[in-house]
Amino acid sequence: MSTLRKPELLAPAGDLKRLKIAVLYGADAVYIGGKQFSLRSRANNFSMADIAEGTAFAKAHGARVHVTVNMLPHEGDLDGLKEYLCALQEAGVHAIIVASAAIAMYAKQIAPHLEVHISTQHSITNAAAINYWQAKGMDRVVLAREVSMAQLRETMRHTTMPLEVFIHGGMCISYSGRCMLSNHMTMRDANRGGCAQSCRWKYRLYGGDQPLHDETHHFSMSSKDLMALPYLAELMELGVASMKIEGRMKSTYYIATLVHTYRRAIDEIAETGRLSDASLQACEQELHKCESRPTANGFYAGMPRAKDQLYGVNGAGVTNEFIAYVLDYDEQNQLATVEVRNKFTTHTLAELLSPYEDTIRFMIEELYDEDGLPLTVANQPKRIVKLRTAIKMKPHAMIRKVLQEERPLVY
Amino acid sequence: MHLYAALMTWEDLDQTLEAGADGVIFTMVPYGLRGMCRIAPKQAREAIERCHRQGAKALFMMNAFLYEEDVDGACQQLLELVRAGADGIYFADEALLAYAQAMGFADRLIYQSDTLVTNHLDVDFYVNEGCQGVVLAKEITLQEILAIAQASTAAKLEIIAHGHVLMMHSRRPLLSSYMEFIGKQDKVKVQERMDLSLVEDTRSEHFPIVEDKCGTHIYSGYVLNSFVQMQELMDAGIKAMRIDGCFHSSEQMLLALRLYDAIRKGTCDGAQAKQQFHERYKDLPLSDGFYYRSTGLSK
Repeated sequence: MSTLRKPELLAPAGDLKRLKIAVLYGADAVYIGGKQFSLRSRANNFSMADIAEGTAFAKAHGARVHVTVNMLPHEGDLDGLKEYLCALQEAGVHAIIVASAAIAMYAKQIAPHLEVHISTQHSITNAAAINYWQAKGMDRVVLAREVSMAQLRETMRHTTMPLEVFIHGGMCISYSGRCMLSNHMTMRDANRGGCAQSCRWKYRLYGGDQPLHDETHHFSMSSKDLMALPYLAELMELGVASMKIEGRMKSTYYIATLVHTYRRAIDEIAETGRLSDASLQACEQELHKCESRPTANGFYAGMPRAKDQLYGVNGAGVTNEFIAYVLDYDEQNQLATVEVRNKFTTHTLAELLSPYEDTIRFMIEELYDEDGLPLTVANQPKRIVKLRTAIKMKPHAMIRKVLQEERPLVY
Repeated sequence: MHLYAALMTWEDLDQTLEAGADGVIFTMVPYGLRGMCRIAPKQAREAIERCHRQGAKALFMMNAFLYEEDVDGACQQLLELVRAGADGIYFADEALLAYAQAMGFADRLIYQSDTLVTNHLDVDFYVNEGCQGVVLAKEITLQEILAIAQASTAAKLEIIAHGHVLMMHSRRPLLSSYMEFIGKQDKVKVQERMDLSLVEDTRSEHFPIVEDKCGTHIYSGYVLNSFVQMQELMDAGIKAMRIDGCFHSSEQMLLALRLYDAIRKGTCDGAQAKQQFHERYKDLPLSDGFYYRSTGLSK
């Protein structure tokens, strides 16, 4: 048995349903945005009633909720802040993630039971800056992503402040909070939730009047998504407090897949001290089963280069497709009641993804409608159907169709 | 109202002071970002002496994000600047603030995060931490600036008033990586060039882009100017306006400075000054920036 302490696995959730899935699949904490003062304004975001319900659900399952209050407010955006922070505290929220120094200090003053975590938008990259915020009474720092493993190791020697680090997901190409491309190009404020992701567009490059770009692959600033599986053991050895998955706008299935995978990895490392090569490979293959961009290791391996960028490519292709959500299982008749998400037919090779369990492959042979009439195809999203299986499926498990075994290398 | 000029070249110092600059900004190697005139620490004393001789402030840019291996060196450089008599040092990393507070000279610091200070409460935070000033974000409206000045201590505020404004700073060497991808890394030099620009595929504006040891910096295609707005800003009590001549010629920079000085002295009004500058440099795409345009919170 290893002595490594398990860090918090922190998952994103764009709405109440995704919060519950993240918790059920093994997240120790979930971060969400309210309808005010948060970035990711295109995420559904939570009403106060949803925040309260989500917090109660999380607590009942031993998990915590962090709320992002990470907008950088202009004059006039500050109305209602006091009431909002007090309401979050009242709802039992564990922590808020804050970018504005003033809001951080204010929250400490008027909602003292809320932990205050300093957002990655402050681009904190060293122990002296971390310790500054610790001295101001803050509870955690979300470290900038632009820190290598070697730098992180050195930083952690000089601070006792709990640190939160990103382990998976979309990467801002700029130092967080310091990109105004969207503001200038589209009038959408990146620091108030409106980022248009202009960094992922295509650009022509000139030296004076001379074109320097390649006509087939124009310049882009788009980054591959971060995937830190190979670095988890080292991060745990260093004692990071929290490992964060990015993606409040991601789907329920994506969140389930990622949380399930990283839960497994963290648990194995805590038990054995390392992630075996076989487990690393299996985890990587699991991650390929949901939609994402091609991945790389961010700054953990040192300065990202061309292989860590995306030129002319967005999606990576998936090996599996989410097709059904398990609602119930009738053990006597061996019938699973499921809600269709994408089209599938009988004689489909499928996998079952369940919280805290290994995935199981099986064939979908018999399919019925709610009246028990046989079907050969389920092609209406949200339709309730039943499938015959000896596997004891649990509610909230997810079924996916196997499309291909390996994800093609796109770049 | 003070006029602070980001120095174009070392040789321009005397002319910059004569043109009306109350303060000259030097970019310190290696902890200062983006200035045209980058000076080594050993030049700092001379810079301070020459500015003070003309009754002007010597201001220094130390606005880099500091990694663990940088902190000690940056603090040492900060200490040397303060001992040499620097009037103000711009910073973005709280490691320097913590050090300055411990050493008792936080009042020499000016907080410049480029984007994070957008309301009076955040201004007040850094002022209460002892900083002599705070530089506001550029992406806020004139009305918001005036509201901040009214709600906060206007005399602590600096705004970036003229020049191509910074839009994005990435730690990554984006140009080098791209050249590597298209197989031209040995054919096309991209580091430290000041003549490179990006044009988005569906737009026509050229964004200057520079890659250096600190990463990649992208600027607005337009040249922000504040000729017309200056009187209102002065009336609001704002402490300082910065004229940054990045990608300008020295001549352009000096003319802009003289015109802002003339407005300040009342010998020229804002519209006349703007017209004069435009007539002299017709090809420069002047803009009011975000003075009259408010960004949206969402799509």
